[in-house]
Amino acid sequence: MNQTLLISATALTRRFDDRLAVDNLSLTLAAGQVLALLGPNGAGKTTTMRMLAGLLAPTSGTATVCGFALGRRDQDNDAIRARCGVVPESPGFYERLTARQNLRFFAGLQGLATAEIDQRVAAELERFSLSARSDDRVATYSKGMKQRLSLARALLHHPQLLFLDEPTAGLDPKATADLHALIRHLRAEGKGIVLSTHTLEEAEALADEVLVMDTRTLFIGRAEDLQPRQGHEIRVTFAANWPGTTTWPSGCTLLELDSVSARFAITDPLLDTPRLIATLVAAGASLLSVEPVRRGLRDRYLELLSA
Amino acid sequence: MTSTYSALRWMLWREFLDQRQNRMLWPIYILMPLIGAALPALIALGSAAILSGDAPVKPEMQSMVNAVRMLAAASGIDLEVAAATVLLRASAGYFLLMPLTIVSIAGAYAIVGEKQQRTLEPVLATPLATSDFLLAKLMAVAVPAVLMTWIAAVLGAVASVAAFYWSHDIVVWPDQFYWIAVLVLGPEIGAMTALVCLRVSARVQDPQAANQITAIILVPLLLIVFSLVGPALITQMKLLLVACLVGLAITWALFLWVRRGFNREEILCRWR
Repeated sequence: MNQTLLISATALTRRFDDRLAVDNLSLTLAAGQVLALLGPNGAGKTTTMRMLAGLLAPTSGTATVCGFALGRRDQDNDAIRARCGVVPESPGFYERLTARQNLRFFAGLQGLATAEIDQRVAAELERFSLSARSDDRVATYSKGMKQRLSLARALLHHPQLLFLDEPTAGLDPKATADLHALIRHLRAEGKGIVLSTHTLEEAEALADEVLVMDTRTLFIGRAEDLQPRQGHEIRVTFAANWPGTTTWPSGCTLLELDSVSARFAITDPLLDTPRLIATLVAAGASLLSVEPVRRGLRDRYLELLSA
Repeated sequence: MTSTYSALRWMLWREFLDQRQNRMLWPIYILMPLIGAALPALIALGSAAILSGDAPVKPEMQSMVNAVRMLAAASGIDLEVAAATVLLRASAGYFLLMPLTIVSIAGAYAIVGEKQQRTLEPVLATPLATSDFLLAKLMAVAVPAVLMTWIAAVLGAVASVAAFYWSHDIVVWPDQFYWIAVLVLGPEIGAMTALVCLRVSARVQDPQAANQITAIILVPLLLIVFSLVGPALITQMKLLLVACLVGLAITWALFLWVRRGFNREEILCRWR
């Protein structure tokens, strides 16, 4: 896999008047990698993408994108934009124009030669299964079709780096699965991809690295490192109502209890689980099941945000 | 990288397609030139009383009658021909209002339409230079209106020649006053309107509001200016040329004003 560094950002900060949108953000992205930006609304994900795509200048900090210094000179920013493809949160098409006309226009703005434009447009329409409807007005397209068209537009000029801002928002499961397959394909082609998403499973499934942010960086690393280890909590299900009055062995803390189940935090799963079961049985509980609680990405994500 | 020529070409191509499909604009694109093309001829046909010189002169017409007499005396031409010439010069006033009206309506759709369709971000994500974007927007809004005005003015001139010949048996072509007003002042007014429209459109969310605000700013202003200097403009060439230079200076100042607030950040973050 090509490991050319496409993004190297250090301490990027962006203010809008008095409001701090992005604070001291540092990250790197190599070719053939997917970086997922996770965070609540207003966390600065879109601003980060816009800065890295050469659309907004950082207030402070430095970054090199596709080999060009960000925000220094207009020529560098133009060069960055020529090497990036952007799929904005709202697809943004001229609704009265056809899909083909829209793509021709954006290909023209990308500076493609006239002779090349029709060929590229046709290829992208074909790739996204839009050829049959290419001469229909975009106003008649469904949300999923517009999203595919937006991806086609972003790929027209064969960019090295793609910025996808919530690309699966509002898509049906089939369209989402198709898009995921495409992202994997583009990654395999060696493109760098920055993906903003609210869907944690999407980040987990697609991203090599995850950046959790809420204006500042809360976590950056591999998606599997964001996963908490399993087995530190266990859930016990009772076959019959159990009042739950007993003393718990050391290393076990009751987190939740109702008439049919209880959830415990335990220090050492191998040591504490049998001791807890023995205590429960001795206290008269009739156990139906004992299982480790798989604390997912969502729990860890919410922990990070609340911290 | 996108050259200025290429950017302008594609922006104008897209704007042409978009405006052609926008049925809200059809009436203004059809009616204004039609009226413009017919106006000089209508004036010719309706000016029998003035040309005959028999009608009592109303006070508001006095300045025009004076202009006719001055022109006849200065040029040594027939009073009837002088009257026809002055009437044609006055009809050029319509061709100054025409770019203002078309630009303020089409411009509102062209710019606020981008906001409504959220096309600004993908456009700005291309290597298009911001100054090229501004220039292309200006041209996309002003050029069709100015072309329409010119076509209507030429058709109007031809129709007026025929009408004067048919109704008064005289051959009168619109003179340099008419053509300078149409060819120089008209585009300047179109560009000024487009620039004000660009600035106004950044602050509003729907085309009607943009159109109305632009019209509220410009129409009264121009009406006041033309009511004050209009009669002099159709008789004094020096004043007309000064007006053209002043128009150019105002257009340039407006361009600099709009250019200053016209950058990617402004458009992306505040044009919402």
